Amino acid sequence: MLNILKKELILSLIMLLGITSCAKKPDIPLSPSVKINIEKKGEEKIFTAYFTCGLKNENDSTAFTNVEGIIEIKNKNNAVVLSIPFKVPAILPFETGIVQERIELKPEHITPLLDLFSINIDKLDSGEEQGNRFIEEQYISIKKIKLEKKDIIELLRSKIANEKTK
Amino acid sequence: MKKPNDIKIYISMIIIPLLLAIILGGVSLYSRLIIEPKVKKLLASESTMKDGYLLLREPQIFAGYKYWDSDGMAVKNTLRYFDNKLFNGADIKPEERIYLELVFKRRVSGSELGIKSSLFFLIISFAGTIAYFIERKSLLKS
Repeated sequence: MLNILKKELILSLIMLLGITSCAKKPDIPLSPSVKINIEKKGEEKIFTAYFTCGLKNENDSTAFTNVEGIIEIKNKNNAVVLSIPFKVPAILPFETGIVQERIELKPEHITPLLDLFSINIDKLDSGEEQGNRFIEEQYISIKKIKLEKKDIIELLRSKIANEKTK
Repeated sequence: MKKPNDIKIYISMIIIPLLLAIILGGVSLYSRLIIEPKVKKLLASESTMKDGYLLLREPQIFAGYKYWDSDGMAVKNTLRYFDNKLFNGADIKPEERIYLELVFKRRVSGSELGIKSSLFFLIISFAGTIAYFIERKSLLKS
C-alpha cells in the first residue's frame, strides 16, 4: 500500500515544504524615521542617529525568530549614507517587529546624511533644529535579512511545554 | 439519427461531486464531531484554555486565517493578541474566554460551510444518478 502511495507521499511532502518555505519575508521597512543628535562624549562631540522602523510579518502561521540584517539609507545618487545593522528577537504572525537602533557616526560620515535630510549642522548644534526626519521609501531598503521561520503552533506549544516543566 | 450516448458524462457527474462531498464532508464532520467538542471542553477550564487556543490556532479548511473580511478582523486581532500572550508566557484570564469563543465561532462557521458544500455536491451527484438512469432507460428503449 505504501509503495503504491510512495509518489503521492513524496509529492505531498515537496508541496508541504514548498508551502512552508514560501512564507513571505519582510521586504520593506515600514514608517522609517531617523533622529540625528549631537552628543558630548567628554570633550569630543559625536553624532548619533536613532533609527526606527517596523518589519511586518504578513504570514498567518509562520513566526520569524532571531531576525537580523542590514537596512541601508541611500541618497539621490544611490550612494549608501547610512548602514544600519539590526536585530529583532521575534516577529509573530500579523505583527510588526520594531527596529530601534542607535548608531554613532564620525563627522566625515554625517555630512552626506545631513545633506540628504537637509539638516543644517549649526542649527542642529544650537538646538534650533530637532533632527527628526521620516525617510522616504525611495531612499531606504533592506539590504540583507536573515531569520528563522517557525510554525506558530509548534513555537507556542514548545513555550507552553517549557512553562510546564519549570 | 442515432441518439448520443451521454452515459459517461452522467457517470462523471455522479463520481466527481461524490468524491468532493466525501472529502469536504469528512473534513468538516471531523471538525464538528471531534475537534469542536474537544476545544469546547478545553476552553471551559481555566487550566486548559491555552491548549484549547492551540487547537483553535490550526484553522478549519473553510475558515483559514489567511484572508480577512471586515467581520474577520476581530478574529485576526484576537489571534495576534493571544499569540503574543502565549509567546511571552502570560496566562489567559477567564474573562478573556469570550475572545477565544470568537475564534471558535469562526471554526464552527467553517465546518458548517463545509457540511453545506458537501450536501450541495451530494445533491449534484444524486441528480446525476437520476439522469444516468433516465439516459440508460432511453438508450435501452432505442
